[in-house]
Amino acid sequence: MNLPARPSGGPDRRGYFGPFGGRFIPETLMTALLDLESGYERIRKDRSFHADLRNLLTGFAGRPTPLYRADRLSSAAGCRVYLKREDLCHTGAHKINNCVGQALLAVRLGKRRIIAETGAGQHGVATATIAAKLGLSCTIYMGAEDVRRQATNVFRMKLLGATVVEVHSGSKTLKDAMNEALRDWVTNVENTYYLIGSVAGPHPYPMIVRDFQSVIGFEARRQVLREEGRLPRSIYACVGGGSNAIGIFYAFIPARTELIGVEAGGTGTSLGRHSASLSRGKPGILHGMQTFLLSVPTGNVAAVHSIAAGLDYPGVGPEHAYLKKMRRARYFSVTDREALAAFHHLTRLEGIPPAFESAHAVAGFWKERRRYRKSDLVIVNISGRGDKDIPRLFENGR
Amino acid sequence: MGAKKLILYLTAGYPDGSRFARAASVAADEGVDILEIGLPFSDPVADGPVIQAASAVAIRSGVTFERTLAMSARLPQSLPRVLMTYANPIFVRGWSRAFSLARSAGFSGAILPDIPVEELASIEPFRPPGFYLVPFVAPTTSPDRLSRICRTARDGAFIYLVSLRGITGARIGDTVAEEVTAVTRRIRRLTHAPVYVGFGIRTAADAEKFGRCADGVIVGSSALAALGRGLAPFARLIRQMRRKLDRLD
Repeated sequence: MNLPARPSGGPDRRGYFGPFGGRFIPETLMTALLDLESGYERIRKDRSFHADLRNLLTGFAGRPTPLYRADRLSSAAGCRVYLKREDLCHTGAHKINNCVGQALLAVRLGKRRIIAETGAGQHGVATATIAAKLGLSCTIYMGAEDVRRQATNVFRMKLLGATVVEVHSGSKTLKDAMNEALRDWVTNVENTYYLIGSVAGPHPYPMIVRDFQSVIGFEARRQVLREEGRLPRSIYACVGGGSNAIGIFYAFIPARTELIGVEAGGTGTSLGRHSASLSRGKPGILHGMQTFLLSVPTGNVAAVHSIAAGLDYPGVGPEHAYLKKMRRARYFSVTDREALAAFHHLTRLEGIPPAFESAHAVAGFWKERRRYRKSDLVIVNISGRGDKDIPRLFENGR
Repeated sequence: MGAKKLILYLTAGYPDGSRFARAASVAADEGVDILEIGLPFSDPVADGPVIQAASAVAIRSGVTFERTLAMSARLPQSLPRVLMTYANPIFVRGWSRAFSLARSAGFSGAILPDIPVEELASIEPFRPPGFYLVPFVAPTTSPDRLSRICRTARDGAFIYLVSLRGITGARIGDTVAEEVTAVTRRIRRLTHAPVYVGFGIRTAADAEKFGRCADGVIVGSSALAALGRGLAPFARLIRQMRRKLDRLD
């Protein structure tokens, strides 16, 4: 596996995808970001880095993941559906692809302390996992609200040797965890590596995370060509920050495959009830990037909601904003209820319980299934497994 | 008025509208040179717990861009003031329009801590004449970027020198003063703009120490904390700082 060649559509040298992206962060961090950028350029050409990455991705993370033909879902939907099985990755989601890459990069940059933000805890667990493997010190910031909702993931991170810091400011969720991680980084910038979990944040993070996640799409492309001898008509992926979606889209951007991102429609269309930044947001600036953002008219960031904690974020990666603007990808949202229905549907039909996040991708496809003919090929990215969400269903069921 | 400047940060509408106005006039009476008025933002990544809490209080009580401007317009004309906020509240109104409105409300410039010089360059064209944007220098700023930053200090802008690696209100380490002195010396070779030091300046002794290193000091968290206790402790803190600064040079 190799990192992709120089990106076709960006970012440019200032970190912009068209009008989106950039580096809106305090001056104290600029030198660290520039060092990160040049360090990353160096390792892109470094064979020993690629060898280390390949080893960890195969032996540790469990790649390649299967592209699996879902026969019962296919006949129910009326077209040929393949599932990209990121749920089979170590730690249960695609997050590990990025963590392995960035942690190796951190070591090359001489940083022995890693910090990260997490929402549901998946990125926190993946970061703590690779930190344990590489013997790095690890601190995870997590909103107090999420700590309460995801107690087992907090315990997992602690088992792996990470320090988990509860964040009590603001809405006590992912965005506030990210604020606090940035504050830590400003304070400890010289010995600390900030391992961002999505294609978000200041340049070069959206590019780095995309490159490390693009393995999903390059694998899927090879696999679908081997199985079917042609490229798919459409790909569905859920979009919160957007890392699994960019990961699977990227290899297909030059092709004619339709790229479809499914956002969290939550419980309604009014502000505060969903987290559909691309479908309902406006351009804004948060966490170092100019992108589509859910904010109130005063310019403060709006409250957001989703049943899937991993989609519960008011912004989105700048490359998605650009793909939307260029009409290379299309985005719409499904509700909590539709995602839940899709969760049960896939579990019963295929024996694969998806994460609530990934269930949005399934629901998005299901909603549009009548667009497809019997011979049409569709890939749905199952970004993570549903195990983490089953306790919640259990509690609700009682 | 002393040669060393005292810059005071207040969050607009904190603790409430009337006490904010009284605090601003106390500041003017006690010899504050520039008032930095913070338009509260929901996600202030450069700020520590004190300013975060003050921002949350102000947002809850309904402080917006428009109300901040109205509060500024009621302050005495003689008190120079600069608007401090983050990128998004300005961006959503349009840079040019927001800056012009701020200037009409008596602000002579803006401080935007999440806009480094690279991004400042693309905002610069929207700056109305006579309204300055304050560039930041941090202890981590590299020499090649320092000269670029200093070139952007125009139209009366000062340079905001961040004393430490951290957020506002953080504790200042022992070696910080030496570092600040060295960076100030490098800045002086590149620009005539005044250099004011901020972040972590809590006491009159800190003000004295850092006033010696640069052209002035910026005080925020400790003044807000004092204001939270009452106008009297707030006035006392400023008076002590002013006195120490006046004794310098």
